[in-house]
Amino acid sequence: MPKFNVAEQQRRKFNHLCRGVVSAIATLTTLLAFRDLTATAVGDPLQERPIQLAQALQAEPQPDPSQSAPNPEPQPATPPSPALPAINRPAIAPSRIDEKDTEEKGTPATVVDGEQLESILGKNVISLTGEDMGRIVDVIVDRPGQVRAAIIDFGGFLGVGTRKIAVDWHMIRFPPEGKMENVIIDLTRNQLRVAPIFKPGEPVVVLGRPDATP
Amino acid sequence: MLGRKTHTNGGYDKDGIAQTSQPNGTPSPTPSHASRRGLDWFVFFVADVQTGFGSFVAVYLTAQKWTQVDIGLVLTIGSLVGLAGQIPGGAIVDAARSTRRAAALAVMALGASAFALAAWPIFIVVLGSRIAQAGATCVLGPAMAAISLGLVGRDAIGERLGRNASFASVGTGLAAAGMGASGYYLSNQAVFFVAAVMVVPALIALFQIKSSEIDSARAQGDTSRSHRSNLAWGLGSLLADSSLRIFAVCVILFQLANAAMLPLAASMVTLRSSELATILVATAIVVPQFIVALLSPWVGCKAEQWGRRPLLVLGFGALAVRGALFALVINPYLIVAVQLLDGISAAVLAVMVPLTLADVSRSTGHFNLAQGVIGCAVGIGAAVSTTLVGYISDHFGSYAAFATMAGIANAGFVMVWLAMPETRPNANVE
Repeated sequence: MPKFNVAEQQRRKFNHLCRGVVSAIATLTTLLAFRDLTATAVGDPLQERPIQLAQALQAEPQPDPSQSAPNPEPQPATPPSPALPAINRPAIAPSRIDEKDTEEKGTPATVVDGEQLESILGKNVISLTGEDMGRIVDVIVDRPGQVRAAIIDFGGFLGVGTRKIAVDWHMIRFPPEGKMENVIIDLTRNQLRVAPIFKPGEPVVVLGRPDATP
Repeated sequence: MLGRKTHTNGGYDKDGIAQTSQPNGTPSPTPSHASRRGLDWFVFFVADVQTGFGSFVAVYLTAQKWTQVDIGLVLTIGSLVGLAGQIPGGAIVDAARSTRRAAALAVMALGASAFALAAWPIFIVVLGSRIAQAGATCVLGPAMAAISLGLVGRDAIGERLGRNASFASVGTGLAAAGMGASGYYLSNQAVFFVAAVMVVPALIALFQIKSSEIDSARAQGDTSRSHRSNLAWGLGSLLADSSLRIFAVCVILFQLANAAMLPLAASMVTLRSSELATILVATAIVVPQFIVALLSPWVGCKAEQWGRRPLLVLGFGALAVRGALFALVINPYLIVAVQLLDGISAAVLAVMVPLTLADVSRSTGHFNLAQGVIGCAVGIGAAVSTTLVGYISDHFGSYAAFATMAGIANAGFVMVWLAMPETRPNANVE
């Protein structure tokens, strides 16, 4: 009989422990699941307003002419927001009007509005009619450095039965407005599914345009 | 139960030959209802957790912007660890003092790896998660069969393994359907968080099994205590047994043919059907699981009545027929129909492998080490299968690939028919 009580107490303790663990895990799970949502909701506070693509080597109308000459030449690792050039200027090496010694002046760079750019790996691909076409898993580049094709992992369920299809790079675009969440291509599922699969090292069948010019 | 406890050395006599552990006169163990329900649901929830770690990991990592090279590397390392860890995993369960505790630790490692995979998908964390999951699986598989053997004894082990396979496949089928839904409606991350949460009911179910009802001597194959931790001695005595050697070769042939069939068939379905392709592939994955759930108890029952050989012949025959049909059919709906044959062979193998090993380990001991050895053979067969079939289908087309698999399955069928001995203990007949 005493053994029974001890077993009973141990069982009750274990039940309490289980309840505690379940609550902790549920709380942690909820916090982590909402982590992604909050990150996207807050956004990037440093991005003040969208700008046009700017060539760093060309002159921009400087609000403070007493600062450096018309060539700002920021270092490529720290693209400052051009909306606040006066503040960022002191951190950059003083530029010269003489363009011959470019190495002393720094590397030419371009500052592009971050909201108009998006990473492409892993993005969902949809057709013009909204059909799900898979995900982009790779980018194929030829020797001179021209991007020729994107590899789309098409079809299947839970990763079983997928086929890798190469699609011409020029068919890839994002929606013209709104969130850049999905990649749009002008092909149908039927066109994609009958294409031969992509095998590295073998001739690649690049779907899309009739001419081969990159 | 009191009578059983007098076998202090687990049934070994001086010369190291095991006596049958259920000789006439000793009552069979009768585990309580709570323990049996606990084992049922433990197997169910573990299958739930394990389903998430299949091909879906590659999809999840792709969405996290991993390159194909990194994904391949992490998955390969995970498979290698899973392969190399089978034998040590079996040895660990053999040497463990409490099989229940080994199972609990393995399940907690599984949950932690699922959680880490979802929360921090960076390279080092994902690599650790895959290694932890592979190691936990190597321990969990033998542990579940060992707990079953320890709980119900050798007379009822066939039915018990049938029930285990049934609950496991229901868990896998429901988890696959649920994962597809949650990956579509929620996010890919949610799948792994849910898998991690499933560990908690698994642990609760595990501790419903009363540890006093698990005869650890029988769970570990009635190995004498001095030999239990001796790996070399164990391997030697296992490999000396001819029926185990023949069974290992048959299982390797089965996996060589079987492992690559579903991915290749699913790829053919994607190629050939446009509108319902996703649903067809989903059917091809989920429905065989439910067929396994229905058939396994029947298989377990008949294994006791008819013996093991008729059912092994049935399972291998179903695989050979499936391979031949895949080479012949074109229509995607027919491909899915043929894939349903997978349910028959999967049900047979899921029950027969641990059952045959339990039979064989009556004389050799080291039940869990034997499971580890067969698990290793299965892993090697599956890996070779994927590579071989990939090579053949690249260079010679899918027809040649399916024909090769059918040929290998036929070889396995012939071997089972001619060479595999009946392992059912004759003591049952008396």
